[in-house]
Amino acid sequence: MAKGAYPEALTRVIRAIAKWPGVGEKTATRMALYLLRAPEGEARELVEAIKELKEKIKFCRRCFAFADQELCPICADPGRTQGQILVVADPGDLLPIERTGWFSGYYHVLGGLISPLEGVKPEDLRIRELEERIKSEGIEEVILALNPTMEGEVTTTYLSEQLKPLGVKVSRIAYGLPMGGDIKYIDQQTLKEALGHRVET
Amino acid sequence: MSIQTPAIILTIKDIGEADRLVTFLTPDRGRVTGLAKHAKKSRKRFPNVLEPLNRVEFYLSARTGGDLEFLQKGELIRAYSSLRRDLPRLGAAALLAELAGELASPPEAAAPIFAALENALARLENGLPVDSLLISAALHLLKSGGYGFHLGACLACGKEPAPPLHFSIPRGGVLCGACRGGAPGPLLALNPGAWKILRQAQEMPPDRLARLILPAWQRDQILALIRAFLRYHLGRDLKSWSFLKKVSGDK
Repeated sequence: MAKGAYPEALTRVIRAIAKWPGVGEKTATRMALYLLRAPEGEARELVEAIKELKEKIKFCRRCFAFADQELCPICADPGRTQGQILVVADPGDLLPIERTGWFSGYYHVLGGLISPLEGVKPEDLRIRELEERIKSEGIEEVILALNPTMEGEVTTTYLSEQLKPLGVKVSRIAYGLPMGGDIKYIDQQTLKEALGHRVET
Repeated sequence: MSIQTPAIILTIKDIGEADRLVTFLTPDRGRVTGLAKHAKKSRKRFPNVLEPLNRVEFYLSARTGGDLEFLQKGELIRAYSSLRRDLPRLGAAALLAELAGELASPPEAAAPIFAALENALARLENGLPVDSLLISAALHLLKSGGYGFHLGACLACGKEPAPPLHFSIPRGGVLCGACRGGAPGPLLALNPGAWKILRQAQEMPPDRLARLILPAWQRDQILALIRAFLRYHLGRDLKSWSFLKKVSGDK
């Protein structure tokens, strides 16, 4: 940014917005100029919303998703199916799964994935808490919905080995081709895994 | 214009929304770090390529940013994906990859280190006994990096080592019980059986490794010795030790 092009107060807002993921300086400038021209109430509402976000949002004490109470809205809902837990790595993975409308049980957020080369160990994740929930909540099935990356696969293998002795059914989301995909354009590794994990029709 | 190089990926870090910072081992330049711009959004340039331990071909931009390379695209050569479903093998692969990365920086001995790691990953996936393969591959990597163990004769008297044997961590070799007095420490007691296994593992050609059978206690003693040696010379533990220990019992 050219030095002195904007007053300090405006520059400060641009710098703050430019730190957000996916936002460069040009976009940050456009957003800051919009805020400057926006009605007073709109800007104040944004300030209040951000303040409230920082003050009120914490982790659900049961599943470790985002919550503004002791329990997140899903854990606080007694109408959901008991006996099933779906495990995700991060809170951000929960929303797309919930949007499918397929799963009606409860979630558990691990808080990351095992990464031997980065030194992230099983005890760095919320695996002990998951085991406690399986025992105390009468869980019958655990669904592992972790990314099909090296870290995701290792975590899936580890959890499967740890949880099966607790007497629960452990399943993982399937490998395969994206819906609407074209076999001609799928990379070899995905195709190989899809063939290796084919299902009977 | 781009430069093509074989590579084994060591670590990957996400930068911002779509970029990824990749650390990888190459036979010519040793351990290298490169930026893959927009890698998370590009399905064509890095399809299933950017995963730790993958053997790939990278195309680097001729333009460099100091120590940072720019990755234009990559092709997957081998994924070793079955290791992900066998945690002791994955733990061994991660440890060997991390060790290779440490030894190949600076890059003077990178070519044999790269070859030894590629060979070890393939053999781990092909089902060779994991304990003997891990020990042998670690010793071969150390030897390629100039840290080969001196196991044939006592470091002090030059004769066949006489029990009780000790291993000098600073000098990386074996000592007779009688010669250990003036040797600089730390020293580790070495069982004669473990000493024989170490010699065999260091000298045995990789295709005969399946014959090297060792009991768990000897495996643990040898791995503890290698770990202590690396900790002393690197000044820290390799990150992968704790995972290996977790998935393979005490080591």
